[in-house]
This record gives sequence, C-alpha cells and structure tokens, in this order.
Amino acid sequence: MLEMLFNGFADVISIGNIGFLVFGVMLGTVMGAIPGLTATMAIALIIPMTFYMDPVRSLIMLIGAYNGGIFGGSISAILLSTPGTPASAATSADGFALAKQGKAMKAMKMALLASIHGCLFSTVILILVAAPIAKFALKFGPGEYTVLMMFSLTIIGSAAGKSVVKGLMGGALGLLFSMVGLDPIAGIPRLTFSIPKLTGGIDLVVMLIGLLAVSEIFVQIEKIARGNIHAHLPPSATSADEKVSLKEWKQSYKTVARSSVIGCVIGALPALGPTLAAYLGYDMAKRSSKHPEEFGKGSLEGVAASEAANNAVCGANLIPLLAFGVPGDLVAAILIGAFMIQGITPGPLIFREAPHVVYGLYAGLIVANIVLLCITWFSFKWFAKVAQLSTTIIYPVVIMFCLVGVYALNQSLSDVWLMLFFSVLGYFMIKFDFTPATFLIGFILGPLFERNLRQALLISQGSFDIFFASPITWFLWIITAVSIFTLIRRNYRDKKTHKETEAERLEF
Amino acid sequence: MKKQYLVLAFILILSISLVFVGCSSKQAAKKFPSQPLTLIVNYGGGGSTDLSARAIGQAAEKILGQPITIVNKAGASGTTGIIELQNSKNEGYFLGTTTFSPLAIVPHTQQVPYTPEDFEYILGYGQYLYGIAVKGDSPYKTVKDLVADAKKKAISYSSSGFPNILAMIALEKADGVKFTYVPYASGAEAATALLGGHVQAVVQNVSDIESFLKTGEMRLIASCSAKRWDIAPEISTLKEQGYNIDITSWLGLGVPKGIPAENLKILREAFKKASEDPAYIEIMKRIGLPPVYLDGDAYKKFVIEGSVEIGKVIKEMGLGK
Amino acid sequence: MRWNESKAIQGCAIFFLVFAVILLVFIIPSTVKDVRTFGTSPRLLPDAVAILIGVLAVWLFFEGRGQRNAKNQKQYGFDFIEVRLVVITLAVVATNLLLIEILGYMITTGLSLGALMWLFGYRKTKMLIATSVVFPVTINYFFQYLLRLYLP
Repeated sequence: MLEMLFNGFADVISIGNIGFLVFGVMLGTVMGAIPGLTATMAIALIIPMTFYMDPVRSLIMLIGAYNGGIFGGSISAILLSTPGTPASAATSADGFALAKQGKAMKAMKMALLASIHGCLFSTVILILVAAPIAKFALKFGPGEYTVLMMFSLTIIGSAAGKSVVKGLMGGALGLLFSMVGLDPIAGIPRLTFSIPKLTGGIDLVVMLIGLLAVSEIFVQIEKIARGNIHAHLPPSATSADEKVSLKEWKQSYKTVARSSVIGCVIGALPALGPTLAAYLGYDMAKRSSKHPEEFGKGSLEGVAASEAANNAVCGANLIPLLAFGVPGDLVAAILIGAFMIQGITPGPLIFREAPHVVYGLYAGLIVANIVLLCITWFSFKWFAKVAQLSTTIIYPVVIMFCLVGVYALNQSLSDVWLMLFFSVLGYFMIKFDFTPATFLIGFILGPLFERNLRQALLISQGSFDIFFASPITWFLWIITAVSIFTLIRRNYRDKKTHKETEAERLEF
Repeated sequence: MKKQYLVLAFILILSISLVFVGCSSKQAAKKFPSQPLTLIVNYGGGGSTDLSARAIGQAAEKILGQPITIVNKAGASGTTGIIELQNSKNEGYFLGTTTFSPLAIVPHTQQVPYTPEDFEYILGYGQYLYGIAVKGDSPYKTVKDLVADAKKKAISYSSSGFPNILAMIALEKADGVKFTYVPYASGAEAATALLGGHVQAVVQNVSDIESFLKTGEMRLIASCSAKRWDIAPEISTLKEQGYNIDITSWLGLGVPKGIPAENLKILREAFKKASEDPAYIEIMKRIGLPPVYLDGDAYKKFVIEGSVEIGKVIKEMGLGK
Repeated sequence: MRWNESKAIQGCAIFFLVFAVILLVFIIPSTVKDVRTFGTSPRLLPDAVAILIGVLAVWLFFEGRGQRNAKNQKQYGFDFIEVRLVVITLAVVATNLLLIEILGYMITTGLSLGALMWLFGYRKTKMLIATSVVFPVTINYFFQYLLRLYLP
C-alpha cells in the first residue's frame, strides 16, 4: 500500500497538477471567505472545467477547492464575525472576540493550523482504515442516528450562555423553522403557506448569513449611531499577538486532537456535515477546558476546536464515498458526479477498478493541505490590515457582500429577502440576549432528528425498542445522559456563584 | 468642492453607460439561433441531470453554431427550474431540462403554477431504469420469495420516493400483501440502508445499485422497467413475472409553449443529431444514463400519461394536495 | 423604551406563549396536512415543537419573575437614535433590492454603498466615491467573467 501511495504522490506532483491545485485552493478559499458563497458553490463551478481533464487532476483541484472553502469561511468569521461558510459558524464568536483584542492574526493562524491538522489527520485515517470504518458506519441505522441527534441536541444547552431557557428557546425556534419545506417522509409541503419558494425549505446559508452576520451588523450599527465610530479591528498590540507561540499550540493540542477525531466520526457518518462537527468539537472542548468561561469571549482553544473539527470532515466524508459511493454531504455528492464523468464509479469496486485514482486522491489531499498552508499563511497580514479600516466603510461593504453572496447562491432575489427577514429576527434575538447560535444548531439538527426518528418508527412498526436495540444506541444514550447531567450541574453551579457574587456586592 | 461633484457626476455617467452597453441590444431578426442560448437545469451542479445536460449541450453547440450557457436553478424537487423555464421568453433561446418527476409527480402533492401542457418538448434523451434488490446474503432469490415472506412478517424497503415505490405498490395490490416503505433522502442513502440491514429490500436506479451487484453485496430480483438491465440480463422484469407495472423515468429537454414552429423544428433536429454525437454518448454511458432517444411529441405523451397514472396512486395514498 | 431584565424576560415569555398557541391552533393545522399513510404524521414534530415552545415560555416567565427583585439588572432597550439608523439601513437595503432589477446591480449597489457610508458618518468623499464605484464593478466582473454567474 505504501508503494501505491508513493505512486499516488508521483502522479500528483507535476507542474500542471500543482498549478490547478493552487487555483482550486485559491478559488475555494476566496469563495469560502465571501459570506454567502460556499465551498459547495466553488466546487460546482469547477466541475465543468474538469470534463476534459484527467481524473487525478480534476479530483485534486476539487478537493483543494473544498479544503480551501471550508477554511476560507473562518477568515471572515474571525475578521468580520460573519461566517463565510456554515462550517465556520462556531468559530465566529471566539475568533471575532480575539480579533477585537487585536489578536486577529493569531486567531487566523491558529484556525489555519487547526484546520490543516484536522484535515491531515482525517486523511491519514481515510488512507489507513477507510474500509473498516465504513463498515462500522453502516451499522448506524435510523434508530442509532436518532439517539445521536438527541445527544447533539444537548449541545444547545451548553451553547446557550447565561440562560439555559433562552438557549433552549432559540433551539426550539430553530427546530420550528427547519420544518418549513417538504416533509421528509411524506414529501408534502409543510408550513409553506402555499409559497412555492418555501417548498424547497429555507437554505442554511441564507438563514445563517441573515441570522448571525447581518443581524450582528445591525446591532453594531446602533453603536455607530451613537457616534461610536472606530477602526473595525484594533491593530495588534504586540508582535506576540500576531503569532501562535509553541506554548499556545501545545496547550491547545489536546483540543485539536480531540476535535480532529470528532470531525472524523461525524464525517464518516453520512449526511451530518462540518457545521455539526464544528459545534460538537467546540462543545467538547468547552466542557473539558480549564477555562470554560473564556469560551465565547475569545478562547484560542475554542477557535482551534471548531476549526480542527470542521476540516477533519473533509477527509472523513470521503470514507463513505469511496467505500459505498454514498456521499457524506453535498460536496461529496458533487464529487460523485466528477468521478462519474471520468468513468469511475465510487463504491466498493473503485479499489479494484481504479486504485491509482484513489491513491492519487489521497496524495492530493495531503498536498492540498500543504498548499493551503503555504498560500494563506502569508496573506493574513494583508487581511488583518484591511480589517482595520473604519467601521463606517467595513459594515456597508460587508452588507453588500452578504447580499451578493446570498443572491449568487441560487440566483434568487427571494433568498436575499429571506435573509433580511432572518437578520431582523436575529437582531431582536441579540437585543434580548438570546444566542442566535442556538437557533442555528436547532435548525441543522431538526431535519436530521425528525427524519431518523420517523424512519426508525417505520422500521420498528411503531415500537420504541429500536432506540435501545444495539450496543451503539446504549452507548449513545449513556453519553446523552452524561451530557444532560453535566449541563444541569454546571447551571446549578453557575447560579450559585452568581448568587454569591451578588451577595458579596450587596455587602458593600 | 465643485471638482469633487464633477468627478462624482462623471463616474456616475460612466457607470450608467457601462450598464447600458452591458445589456444586450435588440438584435436584428436573423436566422435562428442568432444569439447564445440558455439551458436551465432544474437540479444542482454535479448531479446526473446537470452532467447529462452539459454533455448534450456541448454536443448541440457545434450543430447550432451558438454557445449554450447552462444555468442551474435547483430547488423544490426540481420545480424551481421548471417554473423559471415557464417564465422565460418563448422564442427558443431558452430551454430547460424538463424532467419527469417535477412535471408528472410533484404537481399531485404540491401547488405548482404549471402543467405539462405549458411546454413544448424537444426530445427525451435519458432513461432511468429501476429495480428491486435485496442483500446478497438474504434468503430471497425471487420476488415471489419476498412476497411470501411479507405475508408472514413485516418486510420493509427503502427508496427515495416516486416513481420507484409504484413498483412495490403494484406488488401489494396484485398479491394482497403490505410492505413498509421507509423513505430516504437519496438513492445512495436508501442503498446503504439495505447494506446495513436496516431494511430488507431497496427499489432504486441502476447507478445506485450496480456496483453492489458487481461485488455481490446486493442481489437484483427484478427489473421494474420495460426492459431488463444490461448488467443483469438474466433477471426478468416485473412485467415478465406477471405484474402489470413498468416504471421508467425520462430525462428530456423542453421550451416554453408558444415557440415559433420553425424554431422548434430547428432545435429538435439539432438535438437529435447531438444525441448521436460519440463524445456525448461516452459521457452518458459513464454517468449511468445509456443514451436513448424519444422524440418531442412522444415525450409529451409519456409525461401526460404518466402523470395521470401516478396521480391515481397518490390520491389513494392520501398524499394528494 | 427601556425595560429592566425581569420585565423584558417576562414580556418575551408571554410573546412566545401566545406564539406557541397560535402555532398549535391555527398555523400548523392549516399548513400541515395530517397524513397517516406513513405511520407518524407530518404534524407530529411541528406540534411537539410548538408545545415545547409553550413550555419553555412558561419556564422563561418564571425565570423572569424570579429576578424581579434583583438589584443591578441589565437594561434592555430600544433607543430612538440607535434604532433609527438600523431602520434606515434596512430601508436602504430594501430599496436596493427593489430597484436592482430595474437599474442593474452595479448602479444600485454603488448608490447604496455610498448612501450607507455617508449615513454612518464617513465623510472622506473621495474614498466614498471610489469604494462605491470600485466595489460593484469588481464584484460584477468577478462574478460575470470568472464564475459565469449573472447579476441583475
């Protein structure tokens, strides 16, 4: 196998291939960074170019774009508090907080390092153990997924911040809005008020940009109204703020490693996606961190956690793709198309029919990461400088970017109006101290939870046994219980400390 | 101050003129087609509809002498693209992939502003075959085995929806059994559900199942379409087994109605020739859509008849709008 | 308008409770069919979520009430000056969208950019005009020629 891998590298490393790879990575990163445009779009645009290229070249260009895209989202998340892609939503809170402290470059560098680590890690896992992992992933049926989703729903509690109820309420609203569209089982429209546009459901990106990005800008605009105009981001105070020191890396390494594993697991299970991985990684990191209170206010660990997880999905979602031809997410689905144009059918036979393509792909993944590292590392300084312009320029420009990005997604103006709706909704949420991120989590998990729940009940003919049928489900129930328990305990402890500090204050 | 206003005015005028230049001016009436054409694909980039459209588009470009730009308007089960086509100018410069599902199936469960009669059809160029498969190591060797077992216990099958499940419904009606249908979001997911043992059978297209047939992880027990599968010629069709059902889904191109007859003729001839282009045929084979040809009027007939059939079943299932 | 935290939370809670009831009684039954062919109904989860929202609303209400005597509560409010600018921004964006098909992307975006920057207090006229022109033009060409995506 090692020999095949070397051959793969030999295939990949040619001037032409590297050239296209660089192009793919750059295009992906730029599109990822523009709010509204996603890595998926970048790939969809590149596909026609690959019609007449050889398989290895086209595939690594696509992979490069995907990697670049997922990472690019974190650039705007950190600099503008606007996740460029949904996968970076978890990075924006801490990333932006760090940027406001003048540590923008540090945050970006950490994001990059964590992302690369995540992707390389999952690539190695992919190369070594794709087949067994895929077989294991098969055992996850609707019953198992449902319990997994229940576990994921408990994350809402911890993403909530001060008030658990508000967090849950946000999540519930997210669940509600996620049901707009077609019923996953019966295929009939729900909550669409007979508006044809809505039967397709609400696009995640449209909602994300409106709810998290534009709404945040509206809130900031209030500050401008008071005459509080300033440079959008302060320049870095010390040169240490521009780098990630070895010590910081070591401190965060455990988190990065854990998040990479989480990303692999989520990626290997079809249909879950990098956004969920990012939030799970972030949540896990917060729970086991020594400084949980920093999360949300500028924890470097938090940035590392979410970025490592979401990029780990890149490599991992090729696992079900190569093993069964089942895409892990939308991007992998498009990759299937790319494979097929080349006359290769992803699935169990690919190792027999076209192994050199597979190993070329592996090698390409590794090289793509290296390319990403090299290209973006040096561009950060420039990005940070741009972000230091006054808010009066930045906000209008960002708003315009969001409008274009969302429009370009589906060439639909109604999407843009929908985005505006969510930005108003998000504005009110932020004003009343609800965390929009909980809405996002509910929105993503809603369809996954509902579909699997109802599929499971169909299979079991209505019996709830199916949720306790296999060891996997037991394990998942246990971690769900643990999660709820720690949530309650933390809430209780928080309330106690809150009361104590109140008491202390009153004594003065 | 004045200078700055002048600059502003200058730039504004420049931009406005740029915009007007950018818009294409009305061209003098010339032989059709005298401008580039737009092909609206109603599914997302990279899917088989999209890829096949690009393939035939590229082949047709050479024949028509004008570039064909592909535009993806995915969404709402393929209806967004169809609606977009319906609202486009009907001179013949706008065409679209008028696939079977949004034309014949979706209108029964949702409100849509169109009917198959709102379009003229250029050709049908792709055909999806369906089949019933079980796990390779399962005891079911024929459809009869499956049906027999369904009388004793609950048998569930996975699928991505219509028209696939019509096959199983036909079995239910003919043999008096009940299967449990478990819907999945895509063919690939439905196939993996079978592999994982969560369901006992799957009804999907060739491309979703064929690699598993080759490795033996799945076994085909029937072809649901009018003809047998190329890769499994020994497996008979449901019709041959005595069930009066035939499920084939078509991929076709159409234009909004009202197109000048002359232009429609030109398009039909051009695409017919394009469907014989060897490069196009090669790509179609690779994406799992062996090229076939159905002329425009036959396609329309197929869509309308299919719609009536499916409408009946949907009403019975209580899914009608 | 200003409210202290306790009142604000209670207000939200009541809003959500009313919302949940309207959902359950009007919105869901009218927009979701109760289809039984597949075991579970499409109404199942929407109803469940509506009930969840209702329950959370009640919990929220009591959380707000519990704080009513706390000192140093956070103030929630909408001040006229601040909100005015937000509303104006929203209006500019909405107008932008309404006019975009008539005037074309470049013009409406350019005008909106200029308007917003000026409203926010940016007075360096040269930069203002430069950005308002450069941005739409660059974006337009980026999309139209590089990505082959057409903007209005």
